[in-house]
Amino acid sequence: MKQKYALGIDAGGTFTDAVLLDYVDGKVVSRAKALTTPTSPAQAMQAALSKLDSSLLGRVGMVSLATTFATNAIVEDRGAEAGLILIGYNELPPEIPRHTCVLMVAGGHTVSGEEKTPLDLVSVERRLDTFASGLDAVAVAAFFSVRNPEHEEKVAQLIRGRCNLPVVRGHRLSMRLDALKRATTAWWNARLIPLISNLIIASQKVLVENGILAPLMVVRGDGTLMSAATALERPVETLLSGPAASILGAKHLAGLDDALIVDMGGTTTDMAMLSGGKVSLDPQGARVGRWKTHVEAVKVRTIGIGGDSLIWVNSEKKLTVGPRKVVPLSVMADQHHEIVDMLRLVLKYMETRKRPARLGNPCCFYIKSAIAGGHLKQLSVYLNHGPASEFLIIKESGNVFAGRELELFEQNGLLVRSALTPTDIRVASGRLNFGNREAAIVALDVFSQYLGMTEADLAESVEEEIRKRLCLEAIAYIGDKNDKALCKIVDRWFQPKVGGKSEDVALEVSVSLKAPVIGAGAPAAICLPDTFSRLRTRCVIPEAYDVSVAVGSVVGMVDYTLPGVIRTSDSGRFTLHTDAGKEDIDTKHEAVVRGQRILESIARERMKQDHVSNPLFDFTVKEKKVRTGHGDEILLELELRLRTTGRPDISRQIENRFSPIGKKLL
Amino acid sequence: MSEPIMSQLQDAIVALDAAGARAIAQKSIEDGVDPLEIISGGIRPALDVMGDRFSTGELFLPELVLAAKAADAAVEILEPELLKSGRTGDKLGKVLMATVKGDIHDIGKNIVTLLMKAAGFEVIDIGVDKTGEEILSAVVEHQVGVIGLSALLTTTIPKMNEFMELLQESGGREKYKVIVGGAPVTQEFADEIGADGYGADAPRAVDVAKKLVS
Repeated sequence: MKQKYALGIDAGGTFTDAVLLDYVDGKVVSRAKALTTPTSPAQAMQAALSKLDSSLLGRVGMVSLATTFATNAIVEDRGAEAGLILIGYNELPPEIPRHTCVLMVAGGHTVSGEEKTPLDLVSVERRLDTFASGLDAVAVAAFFSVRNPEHEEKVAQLIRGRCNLPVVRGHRLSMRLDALKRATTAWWNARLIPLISNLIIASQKVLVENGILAPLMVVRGDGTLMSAATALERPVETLLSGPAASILGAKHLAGLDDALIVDMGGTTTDMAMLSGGKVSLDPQGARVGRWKTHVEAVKVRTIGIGGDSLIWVNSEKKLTVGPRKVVPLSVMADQHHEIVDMLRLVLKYMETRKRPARLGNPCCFYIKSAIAGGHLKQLSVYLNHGPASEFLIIKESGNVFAGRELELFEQNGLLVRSALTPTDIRVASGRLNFGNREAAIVALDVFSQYLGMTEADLAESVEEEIRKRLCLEAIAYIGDKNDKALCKIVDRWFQPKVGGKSEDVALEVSVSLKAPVIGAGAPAAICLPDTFSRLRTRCVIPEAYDVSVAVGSVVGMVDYTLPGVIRTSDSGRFTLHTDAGKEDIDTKHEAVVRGQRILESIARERMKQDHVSNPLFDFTVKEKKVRTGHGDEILLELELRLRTTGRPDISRQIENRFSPIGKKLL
Repeated sequence: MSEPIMSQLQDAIVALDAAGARAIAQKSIEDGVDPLEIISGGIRPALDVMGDRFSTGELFLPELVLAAKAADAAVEILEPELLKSGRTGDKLGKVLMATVKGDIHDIGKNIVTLLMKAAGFEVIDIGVDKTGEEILSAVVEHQVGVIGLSALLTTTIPKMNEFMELLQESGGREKYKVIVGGAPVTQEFADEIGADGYGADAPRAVDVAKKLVS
């Protein structure tokens, strides 16, 4: 076979990783890592690809992309401007921010799919101009749309006809009950479409430039694959695709079937359980940060701590790591050497105690992002010539700007922030070897002066803070998160040192984790063994631990389960509810046959879009019958499930491209 | 001292004598007996006895209803006294009781309501033939912790399932405990629709509710 390699890419993190896996024996034949350029994911992808064995690239038959893009966007609350239309809702999903463009209109269905209230299309129509001018995408969710999608479909059709906006329908993403979660899921899907489409278009371009014409797949949150075309419609399903791929990768690399998998990246650390070789899925759907969604995903605990977490001092004057992610100073100074001099200047001010009153973080630097344009106004003066120090901006502007305002510009994507991170601390001590070490050393000096402690104490305090958080989170993930006593015990292991030495403790309680830990992600080897020795367990760091996500992205397959349900209606007929809508049918048998036909046609369509030409179908019907107290049997419902699986065709060259750029190149 | 009154009241209820039960309740108040003691020591055991006899087939439903009415008559007299003394038993929280849409049977529900009150629950009884939406809006309005659903007909118990789904769709599944009961309801059914509890008879429904709120 000519095409014998699968190319796995892990994009969106601090590093962009690429691996070539032999499709037949599953061995990693080539692997590479490149620092991610925050403004251009494609650049890093190109850098990683060019480090791979180039003689093998022409034999790549499938490319698969795992990305933390969606997860990071949600954790950091970033996304496109998406409106939300709620039909027949009494309340808003609790987490939707106030400034969101939300429209609540009358409509919705009952549990059996009957119209509850007529749909108020007029109200939607009235707002179309506002949508068209101010939004990037719209999400539509109707009450009980899983039993009858008619109202969602009508509103979507109206918007599509009049505005050139992507429209997301709730029932297309989730056939589960819980209208609020379904709306949240649809809204985030809408917010993510523009982000994911940029990433996919950029990836396609890089692949084509490297002569790779294989189908591009994207990993879903449960570790299975979908095509790039599907990902453009359902980007929210890439949620937790990083952790899912990491679990599959770690399992593949370590050869263990039972373990706690801890994947430490730049922004977050993810924990997930592998038991009996199977990834455990979250029965409630993916939860990221404060968001609850209906996305089918691994049960993972995402912690806002990673190598590139911001080190800062909270309002209680406590040294804190994360959850915000920044560009490590050693990384930014690699491109902008002047940062070292600026840090020295800050150090001088610190030593003479001339601190500006509104100082936020003495090690913060900002540069303009690609989209900043003219939005920054007076601030531009300081930023026109490359990075500027927060300390110096505040000082030189005579306290016109405060650290908090700069942070807001960053949250809006106008500025890119660089600051002291755990990565810098490890670079300063020589445990990590990349970037500008001098910048890291001076920054550590500045921050330790700021806190009035020695550099060594600061470095150790940061590492201990990370270890403590990870231990507490592991216990909460595996055990009972409300077990205060257990948390207190762990907390005591990490009591701050008094006068440089630990308090004498005559008694100490230890807690043991039974399963071994498989470490993954770039900081894993440095950080995890010391952490999990506290929990008295073995920490396995497999050989390709730092590219486990990229490995995992190519070991999955396309695998969907489409649900349907048949109920008896009050008139004695049978009602079939599927993604395609609601239908009344005379007999049970006919309803099942019809249900199977509908699900298979949806599945066939999707599998085609997912580059699977020979999908396997597994159709099951579960009759939910119960015997009543009167001795007779009643039929509650028939649960239909169509599971469809398959591997993307690796020898095939794809013809469809998403961007005009791709078409031109072909 | 209150022993004779307790057994008199029990006898009256067992004899299905509402007027007698009312008179004895009235007398107990005049004698200064704790109304709560009367309910737990007089009414509740009488209903237990009747409930047992009904379970074993010794008693028919109409008789059970009359016993409940007799008990109700006594409770009616005692309730204002209970409220006056500021003691309505151990505060166990609020329960909403309803018979589902298409079903107008309220005997079972009324007995459960009575026993729930006697056990110390505050009960909001919204009646019979209630749609899921009506039940849910009452649940939200009264901020109850436990929802009790009743049905007597095989054809109406699917409405219980539909209510569970409505609760899920509304995002309220985790906020409330749901118990189901009525002649056609079985434990298997309760489990299948994902209810939190099932009461095979009224006293057991109360026990289940107590366990769920503890």
